[in-house]
Amino acid sequence: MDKNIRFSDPELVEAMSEKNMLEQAIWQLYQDHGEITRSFIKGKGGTEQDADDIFQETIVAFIDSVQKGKYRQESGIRTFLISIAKNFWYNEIRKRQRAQNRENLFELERDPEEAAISEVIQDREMKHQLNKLLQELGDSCRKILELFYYENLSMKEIVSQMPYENEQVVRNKKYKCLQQLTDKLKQNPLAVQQITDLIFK
Amino acid sequence: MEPNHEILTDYLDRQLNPAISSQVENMVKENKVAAADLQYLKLAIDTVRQDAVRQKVSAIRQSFEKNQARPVKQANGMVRSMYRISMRVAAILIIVAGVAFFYKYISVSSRSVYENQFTGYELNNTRGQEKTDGESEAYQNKNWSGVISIYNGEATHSNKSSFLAAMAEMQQNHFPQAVAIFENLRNASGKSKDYAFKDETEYYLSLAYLMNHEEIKSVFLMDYIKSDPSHTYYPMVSRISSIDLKIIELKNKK
Repeated sequence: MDKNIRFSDPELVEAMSEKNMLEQAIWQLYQDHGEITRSFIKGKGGTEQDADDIFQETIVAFIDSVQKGKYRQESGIRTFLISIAKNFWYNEIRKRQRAQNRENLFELERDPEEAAISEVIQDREMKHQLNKLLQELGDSCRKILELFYYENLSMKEIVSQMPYENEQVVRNKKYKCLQQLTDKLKQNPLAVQQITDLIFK
Repeated sequence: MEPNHEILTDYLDRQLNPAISSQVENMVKENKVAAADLQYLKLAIDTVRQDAVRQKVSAIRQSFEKNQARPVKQANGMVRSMYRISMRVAAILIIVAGVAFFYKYISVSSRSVYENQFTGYELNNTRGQEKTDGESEAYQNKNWSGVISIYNGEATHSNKSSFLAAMAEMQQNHFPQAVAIFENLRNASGKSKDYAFKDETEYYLSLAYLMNHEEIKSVFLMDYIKSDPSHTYYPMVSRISSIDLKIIELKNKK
């Protein structure tokens, strides 16, 4: 990764959708927007650790929004990131039962791209829970699913990276892992609610 | 077509030929359970992708924090070098102060203070005008031995007479004699409540003590004068630095 490459905002958004440019894009997000976003969280009562964690979650959510086409560049990247971080921190405070302070901590202004941000916020808790379910599958399942669905490697390429005898073993293992994860999702109330809303309402 | 996990997975993985893919799409449109299963699979795959992105961001975060640690390290180095510079300056200041104090300690002595402070007493003509005596005349003529001779010839001594005699002794560097006369004068004044030449006696006695190797008494008397702004010799004694007095005290403490 060349840390000296600089993207303009539109180029950065484009880079986030390209797997081979993603690391570069994340680096620039940290470089350009990390400090101000972290300062914002610390200014609202967060610790260093809170600020680091919230910014990381913000980046993950932002990448997801971009990759799913939900970020329409109506607001600048920094404004969008701070809006997400602010809302994440708002929810975190509420979760920590410090809700009584939140009115003082946040101005009640409207966020740019409010709909997109609202979706990001709603997704966050569910994604946390689903991520935990994925961890429960174990490292080998997680790895094989990641290589196939994120890295887009073929079965042959996965065989070369993991200690499996042949492609068929990998294929069976992948089916099994995905089945296990789906079964877990079917037992998660938030996931069930989302699918039910989508299909049956 | 029956909805099952494998075929839905193959559909999402684009492993099916177009005809079977089309059948799956029709099945999903007609069968809500199949549609829900497909959505669960999509959600599962999305979770995997999100996890991969999260790992990637986390790795870059660590790398970024390490990278950011460098300037902090430099800042620490800077702080350390600032600290070193401050310590050096402090050490130099301590050495300079030490040398200055050592020089002061060596140079300040009873004699140096005495020489700086002692000026001969100028006899005021109006004072004791009623008695234009030989002792005063001898004193004004700086006839020190004459003053002492007249003093010794007196049966009783006025304060003025005693003071002039003591001053005449001091002019001849006869400090033990000067101290003796000054002390007698102080004691007599205390008893007689005659305070003529009181301030003069105290000041010159303090100087005589210095040269009579009675520095502690001298410092004590000077401190006494310094504590009284109405004392005639307060301005004179205030010129002597407290450090000088302290050094004299230190040098002569037994």
